[in-house]
Amino acid sequence: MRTQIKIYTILALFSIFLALLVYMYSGEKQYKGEIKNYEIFVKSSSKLVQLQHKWSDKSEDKKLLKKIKSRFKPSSSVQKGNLQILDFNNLTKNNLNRIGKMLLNSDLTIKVIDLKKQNDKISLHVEVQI
Amino acid sequence: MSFFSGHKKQTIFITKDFHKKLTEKCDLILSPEFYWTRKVSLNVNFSYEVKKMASSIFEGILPAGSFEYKVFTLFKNEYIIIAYDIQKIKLELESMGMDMSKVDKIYTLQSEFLKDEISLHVNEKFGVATVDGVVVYLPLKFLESSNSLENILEDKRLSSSYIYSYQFQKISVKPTELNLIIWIFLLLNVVAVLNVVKLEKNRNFLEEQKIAFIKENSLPATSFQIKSMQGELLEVNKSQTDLRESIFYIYKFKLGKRESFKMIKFEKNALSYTIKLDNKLRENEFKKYLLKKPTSSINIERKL
Repeated sequence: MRTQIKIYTILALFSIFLALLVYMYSGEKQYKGEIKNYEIFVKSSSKLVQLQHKWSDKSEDKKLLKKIKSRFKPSSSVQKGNLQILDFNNLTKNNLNRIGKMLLNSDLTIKVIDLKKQNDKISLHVEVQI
Repeated sequence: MSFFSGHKKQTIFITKDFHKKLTEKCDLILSPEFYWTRKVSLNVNFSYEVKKMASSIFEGILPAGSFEYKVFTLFKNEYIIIAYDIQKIKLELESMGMDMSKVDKIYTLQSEFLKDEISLHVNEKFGVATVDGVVVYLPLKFLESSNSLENILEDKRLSSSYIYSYQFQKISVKPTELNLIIWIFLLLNVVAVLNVVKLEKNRNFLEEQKIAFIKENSLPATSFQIKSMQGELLEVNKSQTDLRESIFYIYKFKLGKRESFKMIKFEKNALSYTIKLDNKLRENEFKKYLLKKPTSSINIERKL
């Protein structure tokens, strides 16, 4: 009887071991798939993160707008929703070049630019998304 | 009974007077002459607790030998304990001329008629009967019934409480070797369980990393949302980059002293401008310059 109990114990332990092996094999396979999916996810998301950093991170934009406003004193500065509207009248050519370079070299999302020259007077209307 | 042939294995009741030869595979039921039986009343709930005390219960009663015990619950707190030495039983059966290779399983009479009140004759002199819960082998004069045990055994369905099985005896492995195999499998199972735990931990860690990455970069939860957001931002990226490239390109055109841009306007993805040029030749030069401009998503309208 003792032999019988021991043999049954061995059979039970062997069955448990087999079940664990099967579970480990399928789990390992699943885990490898999950790692691959994670890598694909990180890779595709990194592009989004990069774009978000460039076009959606508004903290740098706000700093730049503050700089432009303090340096070139716009004749009007209005915020409408998520739009910052700036109007500059009687701009000198030099200031226009500076503002232009600052705007175009930045990551500001420019919605509208309206530049007019009348009787040697330069006016600039800019709408940027913030 | 063989499932396919429908042939029932014979069950033979064995006393110490048995002298027939076994011709085919059969199960044996031993008479109480081969083992010791005790009925006890103990205030315990489980038979395994009784089994632990079995050797002390039989102390001073059993002869020298390697005894094993089986405990049967009769009623609540009432147990029947059987003590047997399977090696001695086998030797005895062999000395009676029995071919042990023809014996499949060995049972005790007690286990097969545990809760039955029986009174059956075995041969012309002896019979078996239940006396106060214990099945005993006794002279016929103490019995009233004329039923034969042999007839009952023909249709008797045997229990799983056998004390010997040929199948298990065939396995010629020493008990110490069996113990070793048990320990090896236990160890293997422990290693496997640890691996499973480690695997689960790794999977959880990966999931946590994904959640942390999503949280850190304020990403949407699904890849569909990520794709849609990425599409939108790629459009913004293209239009904003093209706008800048277009303005820089037209500004690179060298203007004369009296030439100038009168107006530049960008709205709704369209760039328009008015330029004042000296003459037709200059206008043609400017047109040619614009034709060399790389393709862009910005619509350019011009007034000369």
